Amino acid sequence: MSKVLEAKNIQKHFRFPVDFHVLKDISFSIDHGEFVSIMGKSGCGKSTLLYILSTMDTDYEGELFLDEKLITNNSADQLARLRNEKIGFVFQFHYLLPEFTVLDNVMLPARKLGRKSLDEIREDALEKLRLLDIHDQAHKKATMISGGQKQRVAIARALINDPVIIMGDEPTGNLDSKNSDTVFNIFRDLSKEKNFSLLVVTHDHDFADKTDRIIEMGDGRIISG
Amino acid sequence: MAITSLRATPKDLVKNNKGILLGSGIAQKMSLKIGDRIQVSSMDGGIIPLKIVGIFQSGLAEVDKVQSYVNLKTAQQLQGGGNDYISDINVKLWDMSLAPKMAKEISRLHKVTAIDIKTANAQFDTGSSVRNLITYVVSITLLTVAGFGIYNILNMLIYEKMNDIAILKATGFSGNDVKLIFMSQAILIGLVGGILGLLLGLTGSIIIDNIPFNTAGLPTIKTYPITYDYEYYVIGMVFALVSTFLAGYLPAKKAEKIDPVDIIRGQ
Repeated sequence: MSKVLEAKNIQKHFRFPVDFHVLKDISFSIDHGEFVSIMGKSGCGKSTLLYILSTMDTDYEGELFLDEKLITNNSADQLARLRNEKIGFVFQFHYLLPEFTVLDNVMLPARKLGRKSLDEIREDALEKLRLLDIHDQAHKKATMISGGQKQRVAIARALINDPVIIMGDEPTGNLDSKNSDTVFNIFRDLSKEKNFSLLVVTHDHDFADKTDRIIEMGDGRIISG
Repeated sequence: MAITSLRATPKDLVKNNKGILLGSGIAQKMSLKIGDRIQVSSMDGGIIPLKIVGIFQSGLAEVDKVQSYVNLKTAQQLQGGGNDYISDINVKLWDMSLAPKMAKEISRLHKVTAIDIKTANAQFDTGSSVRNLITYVVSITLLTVAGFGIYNILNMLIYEKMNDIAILKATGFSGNDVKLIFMSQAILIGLVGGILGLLLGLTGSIIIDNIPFNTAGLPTIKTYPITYDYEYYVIGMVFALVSTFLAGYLPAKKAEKIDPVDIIRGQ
């Protein structure tokens, strides 16, 4: 089984206002098609870890492999390209661009990647929206749909470039239980049926219990998983 | 001095040896019209009869009161000089800026005194260069103020769009892409603002051009004098683009540097 993501001896310090060792020697890996959740109390460093894994935070020591390639010390532009191509993000908040339609929001990362023609991208985007059952909202402005729908659009946006891994930072943190279940089931299906790899940081025990593997963190270390 | 109007061309003088082109000021004063005959006394006391073949108006009332044109021969008779008597020659150039150089050249070649227009009108020249300076200082001040306005707007816009910038960066847009977005916005403001400003300026010029402006010294000017020289419009456009570019650059630079992690974690 190939590894989509591997962290080796990740160390992270917050240097301001005082030196604080947030992540202590974190090593783990995620196999292709795995659905993994990271759990832990507030302040244990799980979000910090996710942002390092997502390549957005480059201020750490250790080694990070994405798709079996070392990406530590890549330039900011290279990392931006990697994020665009290989990582899909779902945050607690949807971060849709309010001026654009749902469809345009989903298309945006693919247009940046520029691998396909505009028509193909539009087709892809509609297909992803159909997968998440919100294709009927495709031509509405992003501000005109409900919170749960926005989060599904954000997931469609994360999927548009067929990333090797989808990362979620409390993706259900801002949703009611019904919408949370919907989002979980979407993730479940993506993992089982489409064979996507997923890494989700969450507070929600019910959510985490249903994933393939739970990595539990405490005080900057991996306690179990 | 340019003969600008009023029923007179130098050709009228060529046709009639004993003709005179009379200034409109003096013609009015003495109630003379074309076809009238006048007698002019020369330096040596002789009297020369002349026929008025035309009346000219230079545009400057002061000139029209005292200046008239006759053929060279007649002028030499009036001055009591011979066939080779010429007091001075005025040379008109297409490009005025060449005058100082040409004056020196003529002076050297023909061993005569040659005065260029700049030297002859030094006082006027200083006046207009000071006026130009004031115009540019005022323009630049206004542009600086407008530039700061644009800078502020874009700065605020970046704070407002923090989340959007964060998500763009998270989904793979580089800092450079984000900078380009804001730079293109600034340039767009400059372009649209510049074009609208030029149109507004042109409209203003056309309106002012039609406002009556009467002054005794300049009888040919009936409305406010306006130049439509395209040069000023080009300068205006360039200034608009340069100032918006500069005003947009700093905020765009700031947007380039925004760390998406800070924004997303800060929520």
